[in-house]
Amino acid sequence: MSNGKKEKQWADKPWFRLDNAALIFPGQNSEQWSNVIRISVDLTITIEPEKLKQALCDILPRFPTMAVQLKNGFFWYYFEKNDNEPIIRPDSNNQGVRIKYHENNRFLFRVFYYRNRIALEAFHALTDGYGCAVFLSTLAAQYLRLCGHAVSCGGMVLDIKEAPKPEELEDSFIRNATPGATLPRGTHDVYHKAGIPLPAHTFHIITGHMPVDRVKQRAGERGATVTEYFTAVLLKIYLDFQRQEAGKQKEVVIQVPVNGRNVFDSKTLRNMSVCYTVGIDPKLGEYTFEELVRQTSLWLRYVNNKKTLGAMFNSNVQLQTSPLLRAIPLFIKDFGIRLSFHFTAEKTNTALFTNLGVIRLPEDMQPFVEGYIFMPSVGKLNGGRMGAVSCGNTLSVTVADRYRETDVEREFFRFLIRDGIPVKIISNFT
Amino acid sequence: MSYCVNCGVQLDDSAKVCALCGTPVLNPNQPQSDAAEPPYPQTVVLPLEERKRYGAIIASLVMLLPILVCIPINYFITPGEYWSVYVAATLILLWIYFVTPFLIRRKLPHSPYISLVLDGVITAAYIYVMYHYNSSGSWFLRIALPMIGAFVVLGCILIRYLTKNKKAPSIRKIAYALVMVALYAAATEFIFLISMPNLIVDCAALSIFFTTAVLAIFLRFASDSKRFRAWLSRKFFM
Repeated sequence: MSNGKKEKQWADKPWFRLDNAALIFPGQNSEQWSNVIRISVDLTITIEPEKLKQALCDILPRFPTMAVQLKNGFFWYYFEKNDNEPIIRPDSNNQGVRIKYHENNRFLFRVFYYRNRIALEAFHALTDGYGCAVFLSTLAAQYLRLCGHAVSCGGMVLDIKEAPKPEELEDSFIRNATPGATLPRGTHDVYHKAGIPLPAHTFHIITGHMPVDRVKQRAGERGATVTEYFTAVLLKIYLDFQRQEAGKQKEVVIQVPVNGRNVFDSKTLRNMSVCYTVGIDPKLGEYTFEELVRQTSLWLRYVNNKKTLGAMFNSNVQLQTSPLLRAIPLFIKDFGIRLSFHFTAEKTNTALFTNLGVIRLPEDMQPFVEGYIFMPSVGKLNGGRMGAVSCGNTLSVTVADRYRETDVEREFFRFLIRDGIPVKIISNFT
Repeated sequence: MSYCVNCGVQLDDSAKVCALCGTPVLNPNQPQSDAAEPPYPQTVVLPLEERKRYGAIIASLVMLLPILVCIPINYFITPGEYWSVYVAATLILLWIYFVTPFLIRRKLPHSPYISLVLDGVITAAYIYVMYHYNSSGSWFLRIALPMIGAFVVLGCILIRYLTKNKKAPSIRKIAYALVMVALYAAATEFIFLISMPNLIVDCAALSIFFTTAVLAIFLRFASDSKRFRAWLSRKFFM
């Protein structure tokens, strides 16, 4: 597809396709399980709803991929421009509840406010964590401007006076997939920590704030990055849980989404992340924490390259390129996706750890920002799914859990305390 | 600024217990103040219930169509015959079975009982239609009606047991269901014995009664007695 043709599509067409990663999310969306990611920013000033709504209306034209509604075609879902008025509402205790397409003026994202916090919950089909962070940062910057503060653009704050750029709206999966290359997917059953589910639509959200430099130091002492370190901690606590339960010892697999933008130099604001998995088989013997960190960091560094990513993209893109699959009507596709999610997806992962990385803000905005919190979608089988984000010198790790028990969270944060990292906990259940 | 004595994590000023382990926060130097606002609002906003009723109403309309088409055709084109009655009866039966559960509000008390009784009534009515147009004798009153009645009564007892004892072990629930099956088999045998003493059916219902009764007693015993379970696992290990 030539560049000119692409630009024409974005400028003139009132509808566009879902990106490759987004294709599966409407199919697996259900009352119990929909992929909603939440990111919130704490400012130093109290939020006034009228100004926030104005700010949201101001920035929406800059994000054509967010101001959309989901429609059914015969073969595929598609996005259509949504001209309705966006809604903002006070935050609630239960976050990340399922998305229904007809609610919320047909927007697939929700904006909340509470005290000094602005929160964004978005359906994963719209964008991934990075896209959400950019949208929220731009919203917060515009809000600050409406409050009379001079905030410039840069980093994750986009200039809302600019027109949307074609490279921000592209489907980077298709462009960067390596034709012909495929990678096998994990399909075997792995360990899951069981628990008593909370009532429907209520979740445990526990966030631990910790200093970035200390975490980096503790990880660096073991020759690992922050993501590798946390993944190893998760592996360790799940292996310990499984050993205590003394049942059949299954593999423990942690899913680690990786942002493909850094590798492929993509600037898209739509989905551009795929998941690596790190697995440890306890049948091979008992691993010390140092061994786990080494295994994790070696494995993630081994797989994290253009070749592997390109092959992973291509495995996913085949759904869109295969003529046979394309010709299947949508309702059968949906059923197939639902079925495949039931038998693979979370069945093949014990937990998820996603690190959004550093939030880059312009210099003059930083004094107004206290911190960010990033919460991945709540799992159906996975007890705790963790999301990390760092802003300034604060790293926030949030665990979203649908179980009554908080064993995973407790062991995770206690391990960090024992390892010399001070943690401050906030939760919605106190 | 308080710390959990159990976990060592710093807690939010508004926290009354540790979010990780539930240990109460007691800081003599900093008495608990209600002034501190919690990090998240306490109001829980539940999303609206899924609108299954719309689907149910559409299904009702779709099922109504053949009835509306068949009855006039029957009346005008083939007067004297009653074939459209079967279509209507079958569709009404299916409608009561499969659509009404979605139309009755879940929160309504006794909704499962209402559904079951409705099902019983419509089954009886359906069989009566068949009986009226096709058959003779008194089997409807003497056999069909008592059997449907027994089914509904036993079903209601089972629903009551299952809703009152939600936490009972599943083996015991299965045992209870089997008891109901056994009772139903016994009731069938009894009804046939009273109303058609000359009919020879080789005690088919009785054999079901004994099988399920023995199985139910076994399961009940297994769910109650730890020693029996231990004995079973000792004897039958593989």
